[in-house]
Amino acid sequence: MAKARLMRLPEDRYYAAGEHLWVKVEGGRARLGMDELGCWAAGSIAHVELHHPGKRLARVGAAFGTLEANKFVGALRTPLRGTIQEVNRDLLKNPRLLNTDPYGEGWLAVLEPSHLTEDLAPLVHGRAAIIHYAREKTAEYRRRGILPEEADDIQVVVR
Amino acid sequence: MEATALNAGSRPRSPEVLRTSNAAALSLRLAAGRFYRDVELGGINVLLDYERGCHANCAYCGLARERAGTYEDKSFIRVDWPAYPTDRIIEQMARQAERMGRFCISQVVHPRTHPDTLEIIRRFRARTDTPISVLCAPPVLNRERLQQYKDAGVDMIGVGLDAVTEETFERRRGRAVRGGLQWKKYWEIILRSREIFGPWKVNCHVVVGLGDADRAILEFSARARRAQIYAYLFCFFPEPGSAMAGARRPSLFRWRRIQLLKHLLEAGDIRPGDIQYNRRGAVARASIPRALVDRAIEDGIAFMTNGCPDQRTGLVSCTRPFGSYRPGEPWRDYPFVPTAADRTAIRRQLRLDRWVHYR
Repeated sequence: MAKARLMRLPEDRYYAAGEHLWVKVEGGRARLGMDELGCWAAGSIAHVELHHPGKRLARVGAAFGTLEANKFVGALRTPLRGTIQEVNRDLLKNPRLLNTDPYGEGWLAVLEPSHLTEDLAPLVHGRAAIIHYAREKTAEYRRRGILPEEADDIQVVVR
Repeated sequence: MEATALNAGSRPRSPEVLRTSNAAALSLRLAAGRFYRDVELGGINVLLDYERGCHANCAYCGLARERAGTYEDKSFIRVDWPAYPTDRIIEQMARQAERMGRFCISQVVHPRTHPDTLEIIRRFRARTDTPISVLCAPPVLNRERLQQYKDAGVDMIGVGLDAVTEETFERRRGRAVRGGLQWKKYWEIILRSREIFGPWKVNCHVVVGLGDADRAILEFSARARRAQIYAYLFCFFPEPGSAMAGARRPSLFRWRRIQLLKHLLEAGDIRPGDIQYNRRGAVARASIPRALVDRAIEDGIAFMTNGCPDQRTGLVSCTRPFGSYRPGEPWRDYPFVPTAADRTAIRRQLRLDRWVHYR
């Protein structure tokens, strides 16, 4: 029997479902990263570009960088309005950190949010909502052939 | 997330195991990931897998013998090639046969290449009717072995000639790089393949950017057409760690111009005499009716990937998406018919006013 694959979605974060980005509130700042399903769906990540600190993100959905995998490229679009305070320079040198440690060393950027409460409201949060999001997206990606056939064995872990 | 990819070490090798291109692993649903612009790929490339890898030493190839690293770690045509059990790959091909247009076995220069290729063909044929190509390694082949491939059900033979002149071949693949490959042997296999497999069943890969001039490439393409052999264009991409890692890619302008002229020559729309070259053999000027240029750009086929066809549709099956360029940069060859926006970009890249004389 094939070993189940664990898809981790930490419960302390908010998730922008369409973009596969997570937000972790740290005091008055917000750390952004990509969730594990988003990293799987992109494939083997080869190149990341991030806008410089100081860049103002005036609207939700504004691009703050680009992610490129071997066979895919897409913009990174912010779920929060605010100003970029910091970007992960280690990730720029080693983009594979997104595949290997998406919730730790593979973080993307830290923002000083301008409308935090308002922008967090539509994001996925809380155990039940996170599990629902993961199951819906996994089913969709399986249908579209983005996940391998063994994806039947995925177990969602929220904690 | 690669569900069944095998790790290095003491695992079995070919014929029990094959490496697939990264794109093939995605298309076969063996690995997670997606294609930019939802590209579909029905041409599945697999590579024979041996512990010590390929014995050749081509200056531009990721698998070169003297390139640092183990065979396992070496990238090839820009990406990693994960390893899977052969029967698993064949099973996936059979299960998704309606999406699959062709199965291509890429050989490497190794003593086990021929018997293992035959074994893989036999297993594949037992499970599915999808056409099979062999991208062959001439040093390990002869007439008898080619005939065995045909008898076993192979439909097309590809020869990775890559260089179109003996001088460039020697410099990039032969004595100059301790490569051990021989121009004469490659030609012997091209001609034997043409005899055995028939017209339009043999193709030669031609890499633009190895040192051959435009003139040599376009004249080669015209000669191949007369012999009813396909010339498939590839755009050089510097493989990190290879001897040509620091070499420059052909400019987009040069690449587009060669794509267009090759297409017009192959279609019989222009004659070799319609193209003028400078002293270095680069295209200087071409005399072409405006309507032909407009039509070629409008239908876009000239700018698509060259590769073996899906026999059901007649369209290229081996589209190698993002094989010679990153998805985030201007595309070199399109894995589908270019859209109107793509065609606008192509026209701009061609800078026609610089070199086309409309007649």
